[in-house]
Amino acid sequence: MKRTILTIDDSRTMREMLKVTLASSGFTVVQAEDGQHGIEVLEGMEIEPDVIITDINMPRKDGFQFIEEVRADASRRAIPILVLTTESDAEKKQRARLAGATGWIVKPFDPTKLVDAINRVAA
Amino acid sequence: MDAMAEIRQTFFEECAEQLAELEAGLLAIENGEADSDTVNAVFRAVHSIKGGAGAFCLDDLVHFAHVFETTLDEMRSGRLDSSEKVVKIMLRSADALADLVTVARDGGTADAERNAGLIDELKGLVALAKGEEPPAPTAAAGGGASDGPVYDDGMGDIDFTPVAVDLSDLMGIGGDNKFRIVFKPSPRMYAKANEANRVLRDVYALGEAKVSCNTSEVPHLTAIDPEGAYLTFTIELSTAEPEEKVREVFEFVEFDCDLSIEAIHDAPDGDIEADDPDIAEILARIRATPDDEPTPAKTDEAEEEAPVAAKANQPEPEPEQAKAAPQPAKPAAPSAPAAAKADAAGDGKGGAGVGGAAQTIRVDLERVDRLIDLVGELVIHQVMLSQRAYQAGLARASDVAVGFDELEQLTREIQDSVMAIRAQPVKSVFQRLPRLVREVADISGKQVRLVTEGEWTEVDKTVIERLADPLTHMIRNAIDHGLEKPEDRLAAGKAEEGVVRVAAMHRSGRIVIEISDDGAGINRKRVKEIAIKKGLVPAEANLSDEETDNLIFLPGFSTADKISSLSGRGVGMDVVKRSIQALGGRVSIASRPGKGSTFTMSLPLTLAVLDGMIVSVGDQTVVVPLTAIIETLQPKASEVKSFGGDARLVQVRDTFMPLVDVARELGYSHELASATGGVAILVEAENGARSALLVDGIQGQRQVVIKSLEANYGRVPGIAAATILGDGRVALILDVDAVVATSRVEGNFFNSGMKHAAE
Repeated sequence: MKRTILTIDDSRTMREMLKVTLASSGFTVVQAEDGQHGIEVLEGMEIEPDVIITDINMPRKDGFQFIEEVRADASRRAIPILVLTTESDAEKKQRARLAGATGWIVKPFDPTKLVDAINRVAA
Repeated sequence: MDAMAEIRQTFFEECAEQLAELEAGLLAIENGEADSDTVNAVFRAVHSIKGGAGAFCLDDLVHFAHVFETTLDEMRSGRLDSSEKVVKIMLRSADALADLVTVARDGGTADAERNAGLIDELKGLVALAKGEEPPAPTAAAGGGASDGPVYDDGMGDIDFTPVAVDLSDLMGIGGDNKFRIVFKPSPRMYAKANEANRVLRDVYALGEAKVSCNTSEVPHLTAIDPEGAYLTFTIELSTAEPEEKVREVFEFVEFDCDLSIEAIHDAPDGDIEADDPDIAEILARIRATPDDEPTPAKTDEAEEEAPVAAKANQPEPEPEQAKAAPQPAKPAAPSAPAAAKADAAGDGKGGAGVGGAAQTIRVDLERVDRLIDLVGELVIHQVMLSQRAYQAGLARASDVAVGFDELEQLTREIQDSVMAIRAQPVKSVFQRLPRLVREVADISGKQVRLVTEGEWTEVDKTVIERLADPLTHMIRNAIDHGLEKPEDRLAAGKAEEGVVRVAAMHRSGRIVIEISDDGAGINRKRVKEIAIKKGLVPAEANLSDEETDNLIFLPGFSTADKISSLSGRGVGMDVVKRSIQALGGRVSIASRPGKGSTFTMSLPLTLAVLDGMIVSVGDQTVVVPLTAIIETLQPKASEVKSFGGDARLVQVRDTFMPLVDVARELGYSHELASATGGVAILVEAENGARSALLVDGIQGQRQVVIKSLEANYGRVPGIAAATILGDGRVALILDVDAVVATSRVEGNFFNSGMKHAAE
């Protein structure tokens, strides 16, 4: 069965790039445009995504808040969440980790490493 | 690669949006209207551009955006005040960023010197915000770790990226590397969806591994915390991979577990830890993480109800499994609550995952245009159908006739709705104006404040696109020619800073855009002198103020003594006027000496349909745009005065105006029609000039779908476009402005002077 990845990024460029990369690696991609939208999409999904990939800096609800909200729901602790960060965001990586992120991907991402990271955290 | 090219295009589209957002945000900050959301949005805009640019290896762009972003971050965190000076630097940086985006998209070279200067200024602001350190620490990527605040996890001094320690001098190079890994997951690790078994699997993948599991910490079954973590794994690994590779496996979990990775020499004695200062230090730091005694960790990490849920899923775990309980239990758990949630939230959006809150969709413009075309055809056919039905004797009161009425109503609504898809706020054009004004102000040495109003006024996309050029030129003109230099303004008792106001509004089915300045107004004496000198009007011409003002729209007119680089490019107001007219628009000017000038552009809301009066002219049918019509009347013989050749005037109450024989004007007939036999349609051109159009009769009034004559045939003077009528015949749509202008050429000497000059 194809794995489903929920990608959350307010940048259309990033969303499309993730989609192309992931779809070509055989994942089903579901997209959301910010943290708030991410929560809503998650609520609407019949089957939880196998992995969530989220940006940090987003309007309405940022990546930290999103992760905290997901993790606050005990049933969603098992969803691996990867954070997209830029190289210079060391501080953000730490905050994301404290919020409950499973791992991180450095932007701009290398498609192979992205898929590799997903495979490492996906059940 | 197709997909990449598409994403690249998306990136540049998005850049344009982000740049607009950036500028709008900065301007709001400048005007003191900004809240934290605005500052965040501004930061995000630059951040987003940087992110995308990185993906396309646009290094210049990334670098500049990075420095800019760092500075904005200072503002965001409140360390940097948004003073005027700061915002000005940021506005200029936004312009530079926009240029870099353009260079990245279209090629060319950016102004490296200016950008370097701006980078220094931005770094200076960061230094300012941070105290008085010398401006240096903003170097490119990577340096962020040490700048970041230290967090309370005791790991603040260690980057989240894996800590790589070079132990190559401890290992036999090339041969099998052996490691002893002690791995004790904490409950936190499971709470972040990392799992011991996956990590172990990855370790196995590296080479030969022997794993032993210490279960001695597993408590009695009744005391077991299902979300606790009690196992310690010891792995003896022999692999060809270097230590970095091994550490990479633990990349995501290293802060959420107790971990030691030791390189083992041939005779494994297991006590390297204490011998090697590097490892000892690392281990000491890792150990400094709050240890995971099961009970306190639970209150930190677990929700009250969580254990219950987990217990429900695994009622009687054997000790062995219980240790691993968080792992298998987790994946199973979500489905039930998730389903419940989906039901609870079943107010219509439960369906597909993508559904959610998407408020907009992006549609290929071609599809919309195709739809508009089709709806246009639908309107024509609907009209044709009902006309034929009535011609065939359908009773007006019949049910079918009622059906036709409803169908017409619906068709109209569909048409309006489809047109609305293409409508966009003029904001997209208005957004570009602040930068334009800044640039023009800089070059001309004038102080200008731009005020925009009605930016949410909607108009067809095509109109918006074609609006940009004339609008740009008129604003340049307003600043360059309209506004005075600061010293002159002071001398005239005005504020140093001139105001250019651009306002959009809907007015009687059209969009009107006013560009006004509070400058000196048109120097009529000078304008007239130039016009006479250039032979545009006869020297003896007696012109009204309004006529004088409108001289600037004449071809070949330029008031500037020397050619200014601003208003330049050889484009005069005549070109502006023509491009507006090509859109079915009109432009006029009102000026008050010493007070300023106002240019008024009026454009149709859409280029697709038009409300028109259908009139008979000879054996032809012509459409007169309803917006131009003031009234219709049947002239009496006593009201029509002939003079000089074929020129006639008609008296309407107490004024006279030219009577235009439309049939003759369009070449349908050579003889002058009798004025009393037809209907005179009183029309007004955008400049206020009025004429009476003499036609044979009025057929009715309806909305017609505009078909471009230029695109399908060629430009015809006096004709704006064509349409297809209900009976399938083609009818021409009259260009009222052109016809009125021609009539006035024949009607008064001032205009005849203009005509001669134009020839």
